[in-house]
Amino acid sequence: MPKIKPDPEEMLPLTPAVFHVLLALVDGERHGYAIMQEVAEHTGGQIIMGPGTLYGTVKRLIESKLIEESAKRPDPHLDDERRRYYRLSGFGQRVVKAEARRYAEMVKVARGKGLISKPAILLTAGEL
Amino acid sequence: MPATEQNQLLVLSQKLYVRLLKVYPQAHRELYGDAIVQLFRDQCRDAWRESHSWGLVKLWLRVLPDLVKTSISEHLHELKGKKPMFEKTFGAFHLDTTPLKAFFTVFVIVVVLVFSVAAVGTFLLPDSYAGTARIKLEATAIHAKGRDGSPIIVSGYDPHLLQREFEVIESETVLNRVIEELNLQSAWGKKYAAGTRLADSQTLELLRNRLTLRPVRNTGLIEIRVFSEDRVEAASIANLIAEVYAYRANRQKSVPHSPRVEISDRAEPGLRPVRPNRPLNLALGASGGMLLGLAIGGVAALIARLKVGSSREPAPLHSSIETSIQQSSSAQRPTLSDRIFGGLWLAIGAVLSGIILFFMFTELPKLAEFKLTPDILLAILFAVFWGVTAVIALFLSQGKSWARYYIGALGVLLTWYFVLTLHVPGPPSMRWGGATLGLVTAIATFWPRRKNAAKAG
Repeated sequence: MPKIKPDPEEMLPLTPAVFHVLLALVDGERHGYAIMQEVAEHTGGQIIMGPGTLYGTVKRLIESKLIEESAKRPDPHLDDERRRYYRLSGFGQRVVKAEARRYAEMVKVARGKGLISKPAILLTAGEL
Repeated sequence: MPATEQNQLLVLSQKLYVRLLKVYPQAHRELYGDAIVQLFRDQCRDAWRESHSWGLVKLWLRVLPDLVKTSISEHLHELKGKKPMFEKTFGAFHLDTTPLKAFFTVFVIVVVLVFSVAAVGTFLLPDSYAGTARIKLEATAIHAKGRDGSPIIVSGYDPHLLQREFEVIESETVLNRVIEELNLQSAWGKKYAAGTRLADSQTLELLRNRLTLRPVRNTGLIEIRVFSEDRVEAASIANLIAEVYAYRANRQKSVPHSPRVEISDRAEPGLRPVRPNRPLNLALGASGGMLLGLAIGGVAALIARLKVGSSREPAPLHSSIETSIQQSSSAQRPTLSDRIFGGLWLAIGAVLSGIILFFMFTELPKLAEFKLTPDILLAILFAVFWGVTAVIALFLSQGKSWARYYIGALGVLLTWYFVLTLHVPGPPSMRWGGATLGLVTAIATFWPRRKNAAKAG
């Protein structure tokens, strides 16, 4: 039976927690603590993910093949070797791009209605 | 603050958190328990660095609601991920495709199974011959006196004649005489009771079960038909019943309403068996299989349709990702054990359907004489109890092993009970076949299953 290629659009909309985790992994692989820190940084400390929420989200993302656990470890002298690292899968990258485009469209609509006076984001859908 | 106090508080927090992790499902703990604790340890360190004890308090105020919320969510997720037993059983045949495919798959399987059972069974059933004797009844005229005292003859028509004479033919007086003359207690004892002479009542019941009486339309004739595996015996018994009855009736000429009886045809040993009617049984097996297939196939299609429908539901705006993603881990694929279990379920259904069909086709003429013995009543109650509780367990079990063991164990007991205690009609090979089916069901039920593949994820 031919394998049907999953459509990223079917995954949308993502919950904020999922979107933030995927965004945190766009720049490369990270462990749980690094993901949490990056999410806190992106949101100005508004979202601090608890351990349960973070790993619950990670579990769902692995099950849905949006992210995968990385086998590579950094230099064990620099980091705790027990840490588990995660990275975006190819499908995960397509999903996070699609979600970002969706947000960009929403911002465009908001701007058209005068809710946002000047461009709030620098990245366009094409750049993603 | 001294370093020892810091260490003590951090260690205490971590120990407490480790204990609290037990609220998560075991599979989740095994997968992510260490990582969660590690992250909490990092957060503790940050919180301490930020504002010492107060930082830890703030962390706990954040972590506790997170723990409660996510533990509930994980338990729900675990339940969602498990397929009900019913789906697993049918999933063994890949019914989780389209409703049409599910219908045809189940339909074909059921038709083939029921027809096969009917075919095998009808060829395994012993041949039965019929011996038919015919007797002629003539109602006697009744002599009476008119109002003026002159003799008159009343017409011989009696609407209750046949019914009354049928009772006489089947009476103990007539049949016991036949049994004595042919020594059927010993003859049938050798055949059916390993040489032990049968009791009079048992022999009488057996003879009555093998005897059918019917009037031949518009002739005044009664057909006495006896069935037996031995064609000579069938004819002998039919002839002797006719003779004993005729002798008795003609001896009582003086009794009012007593008819004159004459043997018009004597029974001859049949050349061909009359039971089982193989073409009819095969045709009925095929049609019965199709009807059963339509019903079960319809249920399978309905389940497949519900599944397809639910998977196409759009993800809600605030959905968590798990509701918008289909679960497709290898843990959900039916195992070999699931396939055997599912196959045996259908096989047992087909065998029971076959037995019902045989009863219908071979025992239907005797249905009026059917007696609800305590054994049969117990078996029926057992079957109903098993059926009802099995359906409830299938829908409520969520894939837990207890339902599988429960249904399987009861199914095995029921199969053996039916096969060994109630003496299913047919040769001993059928009983052994049924007992083997029960044994294989037991093995499939309790066969160790593959560990949940999710743990490897």
